Amino acid sequence: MIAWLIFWLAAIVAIGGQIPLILAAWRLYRQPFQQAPANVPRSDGRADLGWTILTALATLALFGAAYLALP
Amino acid sequence: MAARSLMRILLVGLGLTLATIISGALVTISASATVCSSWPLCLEELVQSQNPLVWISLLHRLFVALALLAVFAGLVAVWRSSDTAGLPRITAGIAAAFFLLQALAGALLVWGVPAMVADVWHLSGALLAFGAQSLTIALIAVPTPATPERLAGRAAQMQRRLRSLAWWSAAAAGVAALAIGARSVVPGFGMMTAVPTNSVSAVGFAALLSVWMALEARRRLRPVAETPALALALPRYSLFLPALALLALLGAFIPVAGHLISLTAIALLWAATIIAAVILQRVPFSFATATAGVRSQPAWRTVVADYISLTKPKVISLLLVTTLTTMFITEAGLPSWWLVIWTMIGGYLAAGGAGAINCAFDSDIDINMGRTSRRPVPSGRISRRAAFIFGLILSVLSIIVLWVFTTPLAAFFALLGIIYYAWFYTGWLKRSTWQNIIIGGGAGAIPPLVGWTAVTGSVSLMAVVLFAIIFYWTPPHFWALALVKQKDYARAGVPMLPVVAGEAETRWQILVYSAIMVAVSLLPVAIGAMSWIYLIGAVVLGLRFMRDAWAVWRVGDQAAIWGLYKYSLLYLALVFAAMVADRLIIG
Repeated sequence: MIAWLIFWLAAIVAIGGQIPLILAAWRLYRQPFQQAPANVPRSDGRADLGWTILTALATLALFGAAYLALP
Repeated sequence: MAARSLMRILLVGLGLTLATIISGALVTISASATVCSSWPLCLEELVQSQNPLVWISLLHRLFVALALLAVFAGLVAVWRSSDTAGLPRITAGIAAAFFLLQALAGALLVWGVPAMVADVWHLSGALLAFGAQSLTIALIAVPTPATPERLAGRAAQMQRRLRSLAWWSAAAAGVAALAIGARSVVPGFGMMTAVPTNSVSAVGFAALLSVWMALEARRRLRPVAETPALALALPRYSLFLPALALLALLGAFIPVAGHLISLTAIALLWAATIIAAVILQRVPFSFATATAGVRSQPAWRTVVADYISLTKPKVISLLLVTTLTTMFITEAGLPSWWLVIWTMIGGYLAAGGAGAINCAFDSDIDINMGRTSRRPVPSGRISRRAAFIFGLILSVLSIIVLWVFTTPLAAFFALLGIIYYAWFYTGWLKRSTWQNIIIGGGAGAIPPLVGWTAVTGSVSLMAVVLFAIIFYWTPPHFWALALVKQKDYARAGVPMLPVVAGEAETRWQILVYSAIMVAVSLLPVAIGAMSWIYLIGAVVLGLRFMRDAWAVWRVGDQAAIWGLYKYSLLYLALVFAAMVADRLIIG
């Protein structure tokens, strides 16, 4: 019971936390590097968004595996 | 009460506690406890059997009684003295409590309570009382100066380093004393309950630290006019500390009587290191700084120091902590010490090799940053080519060491870590995207996988969870540093998040990543790999992390950012330590 409670609490925070990260990556994709100095290289916004989504999916997979391993 | 009388009482108490410990070890060696079956006296056995072993047992009990009186007399004297308010009163109370505990544990043993816990606590209680008594004496004999002198620059750095080295030495000597104590009480019982080490390696670690501290104390400490005579003994006689440690180590290899030698030597080392730590904490010294040392160093030593600095030893130390602690929490049980040593060597070579290659690739960036401009490659002391070849050699050696002495999978993960950090992160991510720290964090998260697979030879869900904890820990940690050093990063043309997206965006993402990290840190409990000890640790440490991350988001000043940066280092080490504690105590 405690294990389930901890799992769902952690899952809500960790997976829910991906939403603001994806939104932030989207924001930077739409308005890229307004403050960056000229000598700083500009990255590909789509690739940055892609990395963020990939990280979110990997986290989802981790929690999926943890769900299957719940006692 | 006069200070001299107070000190005499405390010293007599300390001496009697040591006599209690030594006579107790004699009782164990001679097995005389078995002939003395009543408590507190065994007069019947003395009259009836005429067995001389009874005298050893009685002598021990006499020392216990005298020491108990002396310890409580010391406690009363400390509380009555007007000069000893504060900490000495607490430590004297702790000493009395531990001594009472050991006496009661001794009585339980004589009464035939077959509890190993009582057996272990009998000697451990005496050792802990001995440590607390030493601390009380040191705190009273070395008072805090009325106007503490504030050092600056390298002297302050040296002072901090020596102080922390002294406290670590005292802690290591304490652990070693408890480990030897456990083995002395229960012959053949090599592993102290709840202490993650066996006695030989614990003493070895204490010996290493005491050698280091003794050498540093001799090289660096310079007395000033106000340095009291007691404190002068520290740089002058510091070599006695490693001598005691080596004696304790030697005793571990001598059957029977060796326990007595080890126990006495390690107890004295513990007391001496505690007193040394208090002296360094309170007494004014001046310090021979590293700059002065470097000027007088021969050329070969400078070259060696430069090559060692290419391996980034400070960064590696935290990586190795995660590798080491992981090795103690796998489902395969405790690893052998040889496996631990080879994994540490392989891990250092792998991380050091990747670090050296990073120094070779990043010299154009490093030269533009205050924090890194004095590194050997940007300052021209080592060429990029030499640094690269050095890194490559270390990397190859690491793979060989891990492959031969641990498991092929551990060697594979070390290779993956090297490629990830040296090429993927350094060569591409760092220079091209603000995601550099997030995705690059995967490189720093590999050491637990090396530790895990070195022990088990396979990857399990828990190993991946450890990877994820460090992965999500990395952005808050490095972005805190990047917030402070963002001008450096902008000058060097590195697209760190604060440079490309501003402070507000970075502070917000620090908060989000911190929350995810704390959530992921709870997964080991959910999947049944850890229990309540780790849960309490993870929650308490995580709440503190969130408080600091919240302060960075809401306040965002330098104090809040530095606070998070420094605490994040401690957090990672403590979370992994909590896992080890959970595994060793709960199983």
